[in-house]
This record gives sequence, C-alpha cells and structure tokens, in this order.
Amino acid sequence: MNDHSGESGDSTDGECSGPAEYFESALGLDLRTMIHTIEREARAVSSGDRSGAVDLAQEVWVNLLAKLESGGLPEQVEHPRAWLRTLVRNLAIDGYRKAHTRKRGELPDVPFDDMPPGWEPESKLDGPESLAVQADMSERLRASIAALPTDVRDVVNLILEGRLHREISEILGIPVGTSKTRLRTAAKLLRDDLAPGTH
Amino acid sequence: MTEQSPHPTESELRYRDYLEAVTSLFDTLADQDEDDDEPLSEDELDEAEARVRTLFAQHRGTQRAVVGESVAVLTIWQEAQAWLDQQELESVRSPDTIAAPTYDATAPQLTELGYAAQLEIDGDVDTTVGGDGDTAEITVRLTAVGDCPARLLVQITSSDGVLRSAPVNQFGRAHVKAVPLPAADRSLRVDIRRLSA
Repeated sequence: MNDHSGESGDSTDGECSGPAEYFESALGLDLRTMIHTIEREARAVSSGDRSGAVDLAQEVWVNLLAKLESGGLPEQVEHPRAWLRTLVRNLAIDGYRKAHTRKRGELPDVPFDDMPPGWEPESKLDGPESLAVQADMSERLRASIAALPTDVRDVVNLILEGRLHREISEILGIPVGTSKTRLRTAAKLLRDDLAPGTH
Repeated sequence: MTEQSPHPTESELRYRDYLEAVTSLFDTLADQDEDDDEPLSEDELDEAEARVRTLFAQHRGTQRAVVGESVAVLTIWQEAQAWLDQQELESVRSPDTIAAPTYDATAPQLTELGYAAQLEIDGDVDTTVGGDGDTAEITVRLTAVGDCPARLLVQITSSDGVLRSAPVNQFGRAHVKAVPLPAADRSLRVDIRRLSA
C-alpha cells in the first residue's frame, strides 16, 4: 500500500507534462495523493453512493482544469488537502442544491406556449447572473454562520475550510465527538433560522 | 436576516435550497466516522488515476496550440497520375471515390515524439468534383509507442499551393479533407509538425 498521507513533490515516471505536473507543483502533492484525497472525500459526502462519488470526483477534476485554464490555482494553498476537500464539499453542496431546485420544479417566467418548438428552459444556475445569485447566497450564509454561538461557529468554519473532525479536534482541543455534535447543532440552528415565524 | 414571508420569492426559495444543501452536507459529515473509513485500495486508486489521466488527455486535446517545428516532410503521389489512369490495378472502386493504395513511409524523428517511425498514408480520391482535377481525403496513421505522444499536426500542400491540415488525434490518426489534386501535377507535400501549447 502506498503512503498517501505525505505531501511530497515526487512524480510517477513517464507522466505527461501538463496538468498533472502543474497541480503537483502548485499544491506540493503528488498526483496519487491528490486523487486519494478527492476520492475519499467524494465518498464521504456521497453517503455510500459509489457511482455518485465517482461522478463528483470527476467534477472536481473538471473544476481544477477549468481553474488551470482561467489562470491557475490561488498563488499559495496553505493546506492543500483541506483545500481539495473544500472543493469536493462545495461541489457536493452545488449538487444537492441543484437536485433540490429540480425537485421544486423551477419553471421559466415565460409561458411554455410562447416558446418555439424544441425549446428547453435554460439553466438559471449557471452563467454570470447565477454568479451574482451565488455571491448573494454565500453572503447570506456567512451572515447566518456569524450569528451562530462561537463554539459551533468555529467548527463550521473549519469544516468549510475542508478540515476533518480529527483535525478540528486537534486545532480546537475538543474531542472528535464534540466536533460532530457541534456540526449537527449548526445544521439545526441554520435550518431553524429559516423556519417561518422565527424572525 | 430577512423576515419570512408566506409567499417566498424565487430568490428566497433558492437560498432555502442552498441552505438545505449546506446543512445536509453538515449532517453527512457529522455522521461520518473518519477512522472507520476504508482507505482506497490500490486497484481503486489505479482506476481513479486512469479516469483522471483520460480527462487530462482530453483536456490536452482542447487546448489552443501553436504550430511548431516540422518533424517530417514527405512527398507522395508523384506517381498519382499514372496510378489514377490505371485505377483498376490496385484501387478499390466505389461509384464516386477511389481508395488509393496505402503509402508506407518512415520518419525516424517521430520516435523522439512517442511514435513509431513507420507511418501509413491513405487517400480516398473524390472524382466527382469536376474542373481541373480531383480532391482527396488523406488519412495519416501513426502508431503511438510512448505514454505521452506529442501533439502533432499534419499539413498537406498540393502542387498548386493549397494547404490543408488536421491534428493527429488520440488514436494517432489525422484526417485531412478536401485536398486538391490538380490534373497537371497530383503530387502532395506532407508536413508533420509539432504542436505546442
């Protein structure tokens, strides 16, 4: 079994120059470690759905390549594996959100009858407009998180930074179980925050 | 924090979806037992790596590239005139196209770029174009022998100076279409060039 815990810059012999070398250099992780980190996190957030986890991991790599195309990764990634986990978690959130929106049956503003044959509703979740919507939602979420009790908020922020519970346990000096409990509490408080009649 | 309305706006509904997604993720991560997670097996990692490398290869194929130095220059079909005059000898006829015999060539420089030195060139001549000559679709076939064959471009110039080109795909094939074959001189110059990002 290879060691996938180390952060080394070693490359496998015979690799093509290109994305793999760029990511290894930018993140200071060898490709196998990156793949391992992404795959494991994708499995973790997919709740046993292996096929969904594979799709999610693939989406993460597509996202990384898109970053490469648009100028590269952030100049310095302090905690590369946590950063990769954050990517996985953010894309998982995006996937959940789109599934919810579809379930809700979002419809276009214009009646279908006015549309030409073959027309399909355009996704409202992609493109510049949706970026503004996303920024607005992120801002609201930040405000809601800021209103959480400090001990709960600290756990949430570390989770959003891609940390694992055992890392949070070390950083905050709390048991792993407490970290999990506080995360559950955060979920409940954030949901309650939206419940009708709470404001 | 905004006041809840009995008739939430679209924006409000979207935020609710978003928050539900975030809190669902929190629940999932809170229920997760990291220590019990089985590490990926080497086979699973190999499969995942193969998927990633395929994605990288596809990405390379979509990158913009600069046409670089020439790797090999071949002149083919000097004999094309005579050959076309005797189509029935070696060609396979279809109503409007003639499949030319495979032209085998060697370009030792290709070995430094991840390909075998031997290459094959096929042509399907379209005789329905009319005017002063025919056109052909030329297929150049290379054999990748390394893990990372270089990106190549095949440029074909007809005797009247018309240039056609096509990249070598992941299967080592380049299909160059609508190459003119003027009746006066059907020879073609095949130039294989390296592409660099």
